[in-house]
Amino acid sequence: MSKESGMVAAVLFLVLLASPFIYNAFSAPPTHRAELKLPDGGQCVRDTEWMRRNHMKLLMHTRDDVVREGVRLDREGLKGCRSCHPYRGEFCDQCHDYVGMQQECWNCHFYPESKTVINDEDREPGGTP
Amino acid sequence: MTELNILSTIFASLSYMVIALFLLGVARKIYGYAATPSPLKIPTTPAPVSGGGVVIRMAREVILFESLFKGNKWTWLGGILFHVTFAVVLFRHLRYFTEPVPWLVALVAPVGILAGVGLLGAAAYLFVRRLAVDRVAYISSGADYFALILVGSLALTGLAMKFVFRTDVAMVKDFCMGIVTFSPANMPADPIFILHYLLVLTLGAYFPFSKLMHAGGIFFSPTRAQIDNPREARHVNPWADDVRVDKA
Repeated sequence: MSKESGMVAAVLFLVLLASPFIYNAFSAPPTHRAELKLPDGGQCVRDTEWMRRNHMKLLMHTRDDVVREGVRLDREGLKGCRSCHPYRGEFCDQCHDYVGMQQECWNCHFYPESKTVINDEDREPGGTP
Repeated sequence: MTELNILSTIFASLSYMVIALFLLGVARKIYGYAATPSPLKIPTTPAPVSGGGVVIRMAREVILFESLFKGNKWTWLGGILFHVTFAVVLFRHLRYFTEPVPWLVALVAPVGILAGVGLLGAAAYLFVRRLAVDRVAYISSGADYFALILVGSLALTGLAMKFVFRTDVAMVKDFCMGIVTFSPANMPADPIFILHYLLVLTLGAYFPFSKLMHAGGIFFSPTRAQIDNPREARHVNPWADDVRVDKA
């Protein structure tokens, strides 16, 4: 092939590979970040840095304790979370939606999304929950 | 917005250098492939006799590794597993670079972890193949082992982050979004994440100068990309002397 077709192919590939950057350059900069509503004062069952990384391990550990050993540690389970963070829409969902990570907890467990929307099933387009 | 710390400044700068190196390096290679004339008409027969047919043949080659399948079933098995799982893992990583996350990316997330395990397994399998099959061991060089170790380590550190040494994923996303929107943010200072990211940068910088360029080169392979029409259309070797051709 010729020099011209070489140029065409190179530019085509460059545009294709750089398309995410080009897209970002011409779209509004994303302002959304995970914003958690935190309670005034109070202390979590572990320190914040640890919880940010390992909360799922703690929840799974608590689940195993409850289901297999019969030891109820509500403080370190979802109930514990809810006692300070009443609505998951302002808490769990913030990061989980932000990073696109599904939460399977709500298939069985109850954790209201907000004061008005109790759970996803209650949310109807245009209707009141 | 907090100030960018030293670690994040270094890694953000490195990221842009590697991105530029990768994009320009790959484009340079593609230019080389596309600008190099093929002196002869040499499609491996039976070959398609139309442009559309070549597209279909190339698709079969790129997606299914057809000729490798005909050549060696065991290598094909490792190769297809390696590439498909790698593709799924890459696709899953889009959740760090898109906001909001497209639904398909979120849907793939659990499968992506499985793919990560498959990728590690495939890399190990192909590595053992290079050591254990003596004909392959004979022709294997450092670069062959290096590429497999690199991708294997990437999978291993990625999975380790999922299952053992967790990192602050929301912060990782802040960092990644910062990179792609040209407004860098801090990265979590977890050793395992730093290692994983360093391996990604290594892969990006190494890619345009290595055998990994087969990803682009395959599309320019004369034996696969040429149309089987030597009688219908005369193939001219561009550096051959001008010769007079009498039209019949």
